[in-house]
Amino acid sequence: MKNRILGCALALLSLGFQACEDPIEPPVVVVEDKPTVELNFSALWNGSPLTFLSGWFEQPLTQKEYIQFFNFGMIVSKLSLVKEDGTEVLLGDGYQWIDFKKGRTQFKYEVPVGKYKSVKFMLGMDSAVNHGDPNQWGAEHPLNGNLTGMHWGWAGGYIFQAIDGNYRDSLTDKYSKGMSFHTATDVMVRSFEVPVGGALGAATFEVKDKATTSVGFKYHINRLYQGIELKKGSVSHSEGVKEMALMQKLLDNLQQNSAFEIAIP
Amino acid sequence: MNRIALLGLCLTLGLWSCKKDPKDPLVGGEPKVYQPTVIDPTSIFPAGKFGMPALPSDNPFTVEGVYLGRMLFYDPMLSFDSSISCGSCHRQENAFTETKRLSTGIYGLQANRNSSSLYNLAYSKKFFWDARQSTLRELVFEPIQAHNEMAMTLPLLAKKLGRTQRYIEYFDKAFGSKPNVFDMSKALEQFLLTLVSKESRFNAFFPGKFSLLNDSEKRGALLFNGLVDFDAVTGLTTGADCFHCHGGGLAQQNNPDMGGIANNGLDGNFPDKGYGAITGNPADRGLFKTPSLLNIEVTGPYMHDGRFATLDDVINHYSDNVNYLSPTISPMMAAHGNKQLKLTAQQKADLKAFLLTMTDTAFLANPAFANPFKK
Repeated sequence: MKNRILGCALALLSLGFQACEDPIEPPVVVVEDKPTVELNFSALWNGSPLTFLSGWFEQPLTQKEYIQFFNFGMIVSKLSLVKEDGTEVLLGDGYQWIDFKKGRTQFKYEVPVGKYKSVKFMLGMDSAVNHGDPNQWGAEHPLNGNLTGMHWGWAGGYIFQAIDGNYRDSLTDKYSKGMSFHTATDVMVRSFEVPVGGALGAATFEVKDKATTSVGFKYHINRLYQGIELKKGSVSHSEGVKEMALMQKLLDNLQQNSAFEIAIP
Repeated sequence: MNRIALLGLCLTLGLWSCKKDPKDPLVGGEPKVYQPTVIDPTSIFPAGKFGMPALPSDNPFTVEGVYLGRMLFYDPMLSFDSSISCGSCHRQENAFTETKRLSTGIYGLQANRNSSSLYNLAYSKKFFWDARQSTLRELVFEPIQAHNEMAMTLPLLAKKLGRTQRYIEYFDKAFGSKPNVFDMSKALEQFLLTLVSKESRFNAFFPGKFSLLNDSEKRGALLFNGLVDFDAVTGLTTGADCFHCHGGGLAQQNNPDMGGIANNGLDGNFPDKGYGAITGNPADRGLFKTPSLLNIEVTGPYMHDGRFATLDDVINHYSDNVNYLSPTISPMMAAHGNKQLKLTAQQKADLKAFLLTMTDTAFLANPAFANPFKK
């Protein structure tokens, strides 16, 4: 009996002490109360996820080359969804910095409900913005040059796409050679509209109220490299006759080889 | 009856323990009033320079907090034997680095790397040569506790601070607290974030007011900002491609993957693995944080190990001695095609003239950053 009483006393004492603790807040469960689209960008080489600083990706040329990626980022503007009726819905303020190495690849936007047929964007941006002050943007804005490092800082404006890495002629090579493709300058700005369902463009995805619709954006980077022999040119910073021609070829590849694909899970 | 009384006593005791301490300034009793004077961040990071950085939301600038941080920075009390302060190895006249190749800690012990310069830290997301820290608040604990630097223990430091009247006063003014190491790190963070260097001639003409440069500086600017290329007739380089890793008004790349953390071709093997020792990735061996070139005139000796005594040595390295076969060399340097720049003496002089425009004499002598204990 004595033990019971002592037990009760200790329990009450413990209850008393416990009452001192700050109340525990229940975990917050986020429920989308507005129609939302989640854009998920991914970079692929022949369908496999791109890796950085590991593995060598084979370039299927007559004389094969092997590429290792170090960095891959892009800045887009006028990022929009296009509705079935052709209405364009700007996502946020339209600017986005995608960095595949850092995994900055997932973005959520509130959009009107409805059926959408494509994703539209510019690789790069209008000339006035390109040559404006990169410090005018907020600390976390995609156009903040210090945040992204995707700005030449001098008169050149932004780097719209930066792909850096190494390549080898053979996997047994002892040393690698550098590869650096920086898309920049006004003449290299390109617009893209990527239809859902590929070139046929027959499909749509639907955004419903109070729900998040995931939209996959696949960048098939091997298609960017189609026919590019790195031993003939592994550097282009979009300036100079030779480097401009190489960059034009890369950008043409993007457009002609359907390097972008929209995938709805 | 006695048992009921015992139960009642226990319950009362338990609940009584909830009663707030009347001396606690936050909750009852006589409230202690502390109202630190908030500083508008736009006065530290004015528009038209580098833009507003992302600042720690839980540590707003206050006059008292910044001053407390400044006192702590210069106070030798922070070292075990009270012989050295942060300011001993981070001297204002040297843009908060020092002229020694490797710094000397307490008892004459030597630090492992060259002392980093300290300015415009609000724009960086990685700190130390090996980029191992992400916040200044965490950073400050490292040199304070390092055995070959200040060799202090945090409990002892808290005791020492708690016994010192000026800290009893200023911790209260800044944070409403008694001296403690957590608020100490926040005060140091505030002070370090205020170290903004923005008044160099370079920052006056950047980006593109070339008319403010003399001819040699102009030629140097073109080399600095030009992509590596060679004149077809003379064979001379027309660009040194410094800007990829030292671009923008900050003269520094802060994106680690765009040259912010890089191997600049110093070594073929790596006695100091740098960033590679942090990540464990062999591909990161020999990579170090890219420093800003602002104030480079006064920040020598240069590189993570202070191997280059002069700015001329640095220019000679990039002109003639880059190890392009270094296994982890920056892709942007490897893209130069294993070809040394071979700058002429005139080109080297021009490049140096341009680099010297980056000295911010106002920053180096700003009394707001000076040792408050020196009269």
